[in-house]
Amino acid sequence: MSKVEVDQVDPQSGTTLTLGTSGDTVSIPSGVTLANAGTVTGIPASAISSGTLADARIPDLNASKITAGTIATARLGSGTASSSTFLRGDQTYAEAGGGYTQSAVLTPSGASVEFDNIPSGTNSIVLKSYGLQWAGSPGNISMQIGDSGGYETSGYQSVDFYRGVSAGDMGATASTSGYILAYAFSGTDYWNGNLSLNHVGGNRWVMGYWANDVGEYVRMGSGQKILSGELTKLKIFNAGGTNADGGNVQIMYQ
Amino acid sequence: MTKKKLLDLKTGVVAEVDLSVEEQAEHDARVQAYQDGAFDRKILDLRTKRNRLLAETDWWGASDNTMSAEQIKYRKDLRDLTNGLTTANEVDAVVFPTKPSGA
Repeated sequence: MSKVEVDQVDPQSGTTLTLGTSGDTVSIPSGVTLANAGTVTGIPASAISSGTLADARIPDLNASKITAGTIATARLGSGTASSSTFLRGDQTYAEAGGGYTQSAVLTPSGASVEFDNIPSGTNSIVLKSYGLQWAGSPGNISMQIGDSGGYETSGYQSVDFYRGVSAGDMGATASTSGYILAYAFSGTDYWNGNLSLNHVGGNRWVMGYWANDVGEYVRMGSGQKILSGELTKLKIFNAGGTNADGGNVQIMYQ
Repeated sequence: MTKKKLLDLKTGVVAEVDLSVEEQAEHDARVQAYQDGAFDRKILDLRTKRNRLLAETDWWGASDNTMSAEQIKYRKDLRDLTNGLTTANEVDAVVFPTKPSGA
């Protein structure tokens, strides 16, 4: 192998200089730097197999080219993406507003059913219950609400009214220890109904409900209570202390 | 220990947990008060039903109607229904008089 040692190679004529012939390989050994201050053309993209391309070297990509995979939420907008936020038109993640959030459906057990850590700022709660039943002699069914200081057990102004299908079978009962939801509930009674609990300002919560008991009774009631602080929890329980043994209960809140 | 069903809306966790010591004390006190008030509740319910039955037959005493002996006895038995009752069990055992037929 012969070796040419010169400082510059120029075309003998014209302006085109050719290295090798078709089929030849021109090798640049390890450690050699091929410095380019001019223009290189004709290099296919497939020949770029290492290194990092500068952003300016990457052409705009048509969205239709994204046909698989998942784009990271951080690439879509600012803020925190989570199961309770949505992406606004200004590409900011924000808490959902203007609609109710629905809780899981609880199958009651034990002496009470409770919803804790009700989100700050909640002003309206809807409680839905079907077939709620308590064993033994549960007696009056009540609901209490509470704040960071715990459940409040007094200061309620609440009245329950019931009307049976039998002539004259009706009555009303007041309670100050909780919102009363049913008077003299028995182990065979059911509470099927809806209850609304709304904040009217100053931590005052007004309550109203309609419920029925398997076609035998209609129950309705209302009440109010001023909490010491912001509402964070509510529970349903009975006076007799017996365990729930049927039905389900769920809340929606906003 | 008494249990409760709890849903934490922050975490979404549903659990059946024991009442705390404070909750258990409040629960026990409430149940005791309920049991202690059994007679008062039952006698109130009894009077309410008795008064309703009496009201249904008030018209028997109208000036243009003469009550039969059975009707007089029925209303007297209703009025005397709560006499001497001192326990919840006694209230539970009360049997209402039968309304005279044809009235």
